[in-house]
Amino acid sequence: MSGFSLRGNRELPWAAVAGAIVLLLAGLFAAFYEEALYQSQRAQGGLEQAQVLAASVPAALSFGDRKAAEEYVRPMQVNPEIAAAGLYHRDGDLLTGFSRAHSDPLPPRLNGAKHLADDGAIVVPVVQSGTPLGWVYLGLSAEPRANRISRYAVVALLAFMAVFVIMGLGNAQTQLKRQSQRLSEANLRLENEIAERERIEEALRQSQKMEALGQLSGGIAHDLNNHLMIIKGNLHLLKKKIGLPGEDRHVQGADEGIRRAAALTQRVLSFSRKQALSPVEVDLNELIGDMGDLIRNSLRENISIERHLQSTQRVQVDRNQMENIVLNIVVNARDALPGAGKVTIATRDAVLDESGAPGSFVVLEITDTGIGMAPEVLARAFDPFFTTKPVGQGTGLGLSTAYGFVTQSGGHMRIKSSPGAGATITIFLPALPGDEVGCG
Amino acid sequence: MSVQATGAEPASLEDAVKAAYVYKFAPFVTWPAPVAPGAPFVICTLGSDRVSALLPQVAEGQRVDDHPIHVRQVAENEPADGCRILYVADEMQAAGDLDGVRGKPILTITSEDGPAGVIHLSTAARHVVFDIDAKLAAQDGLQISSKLLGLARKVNRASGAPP
Repeated sequence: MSGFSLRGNRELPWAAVAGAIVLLLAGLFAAFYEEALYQSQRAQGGLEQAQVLAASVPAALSFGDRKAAEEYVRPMQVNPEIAAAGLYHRDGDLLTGFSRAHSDPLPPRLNGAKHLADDGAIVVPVVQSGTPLGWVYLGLSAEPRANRISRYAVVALLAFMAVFVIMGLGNAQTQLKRQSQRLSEANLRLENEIAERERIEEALRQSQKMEALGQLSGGIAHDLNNHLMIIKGNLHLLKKKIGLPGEDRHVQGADEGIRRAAALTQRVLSFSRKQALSPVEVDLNELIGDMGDLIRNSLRENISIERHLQSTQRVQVDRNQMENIVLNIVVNARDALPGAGKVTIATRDAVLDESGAPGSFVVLEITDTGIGMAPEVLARAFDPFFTTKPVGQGTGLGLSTAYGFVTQSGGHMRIKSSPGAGATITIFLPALPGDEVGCG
Repeated sequence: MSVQATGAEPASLEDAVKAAYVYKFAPFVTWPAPVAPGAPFVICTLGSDRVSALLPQVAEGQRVDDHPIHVRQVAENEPADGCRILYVADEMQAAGDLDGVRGKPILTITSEDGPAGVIHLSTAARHVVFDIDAKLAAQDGLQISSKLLGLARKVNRASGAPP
């Protein structure tokens, strides 16, 4: 559509200009034609007048009868187009004549037979029965200005019309261009709004999904935990009742199973944000510093660690859970690195003004240079029990637990990744107001 | 127009003008037969006076419709055949010498006193004027242009012609 209008915009003025030029040329041609016609008619009229005079005056001219000659010449004064009229003898001497004021005087002598074409003068020989007797001279008056103006008015009108056509078309074209620009701007705005809406809807869907999953899994985990406690209590009562030794293999096995199941329910509860947390003031830089050995030990030798700890504010979180989550993410990073690589842990302050989550935050960012995630994997990364690891190697609860914990702590979490470009996990935790710590 | 006098008496301007008039009448007169191509236009003089003496000189180099003017003196009894114009000098007029050319297509021009020819020249208030006897011209088979008639002082109209 824009391509068409662009082409249209370019072709339109050329057509207008060409049309206007044709109009102007036609006008000029008409004016020249009219001018030539007028001049030829004027010259013809003058010639006829001169011939009439030449036919009347032979006798008067031949016999030098000035009085009689004047009687022939005088009527010429009635014609305003004749500025001067003269009768000349054959030898060129002037017999009689007149010339109007403000016009060229009569030539005192007329030499030769040649017609004086210039100045609109007309010279006609006076001949009687084949015998040349002299000359009639007629000077034509300059055309009255009003006549000339009225003749050129047509051309001027045409020129004005042509200019108006050009201006009108140019104006229309400019407006068209402006309108098309406005339209494309509006279109762009609309497209942006649609994209934004889609993004928000996607986020809402994701949020609703997580909410539903959390409620479902949280309810199950809570009940399961209660049942596990009943089993555990009864197991110990049974052990005492039948007098089993403390280190009974079967009792220990059952106890271990109960412990594992309980740990699982804790993690599910953590995801569903129903975990019992004990938040304390924490300096993330210090926390990560304290975890130095732990992190080092959970990574391979060929993975380097970089730390950029620049946050200046504290957060209020459950310290143990926070450590768990950092460790979890680092281990995920390790697993995403098939060979050598780098894991970067960074903290910084951030003030967000985006809708939904404004305020002051401390940001924890853990980046790896690993294999990255495909979009469809990325979309499900926070789902509980979703894992890309082989069966038995991952629970699929790492990131979902982290998500639940962060959300429960009043923050939010994002993943940015694409295949082959590593992954960045960003955690935003609300900063405690007015409480700065020294730069670690 | 400058004229050299040849006779014993000095030629007046009037005489020169009259001499010029003699050939200037030619274009305004139509003869029954046109001059043959290449032939001269013959003006004859009868008798002698100052005008006839000046005529050859004044008419020299002049032409009537491409025909060069030839001035010829004719004797009293000589037939004036071939003459287109016959100028009769003052001295001849009293003797009634015009009778010999009556009825012939010859334009007779006379001057001052005496019997008048078809055209009669005279001087009035130091201006040369002429009278035309159109009736006589018609009898001689000559047609005189109305342009010339309009210039004449007096015209004796041909019968039937408007006054």
